[in-house]
Amino acid sequence: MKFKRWITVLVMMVLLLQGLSGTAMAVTVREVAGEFICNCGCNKGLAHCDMECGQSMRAFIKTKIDSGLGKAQIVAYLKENYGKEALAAPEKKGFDLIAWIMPFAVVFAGGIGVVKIMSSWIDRNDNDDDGDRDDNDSGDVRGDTKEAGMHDERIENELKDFVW
Amino acid sequence: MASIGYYSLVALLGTALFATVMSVIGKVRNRKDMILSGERAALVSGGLLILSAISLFYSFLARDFSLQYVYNYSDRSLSFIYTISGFWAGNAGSLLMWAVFLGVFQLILILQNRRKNRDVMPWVIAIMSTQVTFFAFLLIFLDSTNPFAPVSLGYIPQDGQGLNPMLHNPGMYLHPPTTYLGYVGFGVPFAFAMAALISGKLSDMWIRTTRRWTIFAWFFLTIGNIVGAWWAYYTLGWGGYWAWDPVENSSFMPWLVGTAYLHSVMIQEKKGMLKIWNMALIILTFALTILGTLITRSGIINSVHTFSSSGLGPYLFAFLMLALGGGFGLLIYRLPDLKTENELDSIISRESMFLFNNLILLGIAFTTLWGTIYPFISEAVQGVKVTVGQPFYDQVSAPLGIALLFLIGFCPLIAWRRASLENLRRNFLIPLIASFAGFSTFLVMGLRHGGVLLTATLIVFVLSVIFMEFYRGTTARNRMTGEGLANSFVNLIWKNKRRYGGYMIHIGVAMIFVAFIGGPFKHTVEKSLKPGDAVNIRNYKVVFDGMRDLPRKNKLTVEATMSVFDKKSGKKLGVVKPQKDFFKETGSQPEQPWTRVAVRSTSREDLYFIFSPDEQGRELASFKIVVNPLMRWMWMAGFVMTFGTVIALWPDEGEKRRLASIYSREAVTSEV
Repeated sequence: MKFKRWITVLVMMVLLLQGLSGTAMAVTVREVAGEFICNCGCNKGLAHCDMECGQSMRAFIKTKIDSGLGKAQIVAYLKENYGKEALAAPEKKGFDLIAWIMPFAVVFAGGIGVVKIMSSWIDRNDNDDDGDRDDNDSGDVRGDTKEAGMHDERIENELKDFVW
Repeated sequence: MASIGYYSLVALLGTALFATVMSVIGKVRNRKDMILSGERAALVSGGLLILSAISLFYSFLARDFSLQYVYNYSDRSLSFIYTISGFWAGNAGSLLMWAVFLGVFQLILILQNRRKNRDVMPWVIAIMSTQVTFFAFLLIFLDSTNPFAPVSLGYIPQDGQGLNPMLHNPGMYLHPPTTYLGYVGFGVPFAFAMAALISGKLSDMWIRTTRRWTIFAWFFLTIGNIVGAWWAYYTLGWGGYWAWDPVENSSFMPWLVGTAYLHSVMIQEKKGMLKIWNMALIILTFALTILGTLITRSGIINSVHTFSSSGLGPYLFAFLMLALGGGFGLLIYRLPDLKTENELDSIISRESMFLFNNLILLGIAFTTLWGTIYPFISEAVQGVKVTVGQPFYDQVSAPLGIALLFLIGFCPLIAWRRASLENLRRNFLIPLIASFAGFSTFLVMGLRHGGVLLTATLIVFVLSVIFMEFYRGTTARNRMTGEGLANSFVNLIWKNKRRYGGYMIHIGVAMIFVAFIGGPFKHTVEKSLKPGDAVNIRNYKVVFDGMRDLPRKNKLTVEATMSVFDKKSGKKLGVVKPQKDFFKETGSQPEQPWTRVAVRSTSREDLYFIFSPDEQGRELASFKIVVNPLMRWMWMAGFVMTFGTVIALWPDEGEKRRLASIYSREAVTSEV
């Protein structure tokens, strides 16, 4: 239940932040130019290219903004004219969607792997504890000694880290 | 003098190869005389490399244009400091610098380990000397990478071609050497890891022995990246500091994996866990330093950093494959011996947080690698080489970066093995209150950008966690020892330099995130102005006062004078003078213009000026003026991280004693 509550709070926070970031602002030349690289072969982002080609391209974008076009329309226009090679990032559709999904998929898979490995370590630890308990039942105090030793070591380490 | 340098390299090939072979055979046959010969040959290799470096420096200072390399990267008008930096301006010299660092590190390692680690040292020398042999081979047998190759003009020219204008910057004598120190430095823990795998001495001794080397390498790679960003910001003149250029990426990747390694070895030291994982991480880190070199020098990728294609690609690729194949091959071979009885009490423990930290760091490294190679994948599949630039990295790496920032704050608060509810409540209460207060304050201040708001809140969280760590430690020490608070504070750090040095580095990382959150609020104005014209940008009014020509020895500098005013009050805030250099035509190089930006910097924001004068007369000039919020925090972070690293690396008597005791235990064990 607690876990669910935390997830709910997390989702609400994400939604709140999404909402906040969604506050509309007028489109700027930088925003549109940021979506493209300069087409003169200098390999710079269009927003950063200070060569004549970059300046004239940004001036062109400004005229489009002044004429009332939105970001999506200008981006579509430029893509149609210069091809998707001119885009500064892969599109989020078709084959190029892989480019966007892959990093998150790898981290997600890695996360599952980490959790599984840690779970197996926890299980192994629990089994060891069970073994210790069996020993205790039969009158052996090895489990207690081991646990006490572990706690001593832990306290010692924590203290060492804390002050010295 | 140049011939001394060249023949030193020729001799180096022999000594390095000899050191490798003798060390291996000596160790296999248990022949101490052969091991000693190998060690001495490695020492001689270090000396030969230093000699060849001195020779190349001398050739630059003596303006020996009979050498192609000196001719390519210097001329008579070049100042002393840039003449020196000509050493690493090109492919051949920078490879020699790599080899020199390797040779010197090997020399230091041999001197450091005269009485310890004797079992593994022959293997360490063999691995290091293999690297030296490889570089000696490249430096001698490939014309394009031989710094002592004669000039190909058929006659000795009177003057050289000069240094690329882009390299006339203080960054030139800091960025390449520091980055290379980082790259080569990671070769030391790699060599010890391989030696441990070959010899089967798989305790954490190799980690303890190379701990300082790892921090050293990590620190210089950090500084190399920050100085590189600073250089890009002030020299490339585009108003930014990181363009996710493939070559920037290639030095960022080993930094990320190296950072993961630096954290995860702590678990092996404390708990004896993650032995396989740590081996894998150091192999990857080392391989990524080679990959970075491959990307820079093979000509496969076009970037501001790349050297002209030199035919090095196949050799570097083979070396990369050898490092990966050899490293992982050995790791697989030793897997049964490396398997430890890892045990964990709970997922909410510091061990698991370290693993998640590793996951995120490797996730960012993978994203960076993926973004670098995706254009080739796209070209192969779709026939179109798409660009993977800033928007991609901003959207993919930023969430991972935020997760990492959270873990930087979260990790120190979690207990080892299992965090109890009491532990969580006690440690998290104040940082959470501080974070909530920060969040509310930012909202009240009008911050509405979701990502920035989250990052800023997490920065408060991280800083409050670190503050509480210092506070709790200081007061506890004060109570237990009766020292004054100031003394307690200083002694707390001094008695545990590694831990508190690490926290200072984390403060530096938080400061870098402060600079990141300024990014979305960047504002740019581009305008052509006549003298007397004014332009408004954000809270500033900028007046173009005029421009003048400043003829210099090898260039014409045109300087604009701009007065900066507070827009509201009209108060004059200062004068800035952006410049444009027009380097004179030299040799085969045509006239080259170069931008010298001017920056009015405060901790709140930078006002950044790029200036282009009208080439016909001096009537009109175009300006790009950028307001870059919070930029100064990035450079200040570099100083804080340096300070933290110096503390973490400072000699520690306690650590020395602990190591000495472990060394003696290991020696007894191996004798038995």
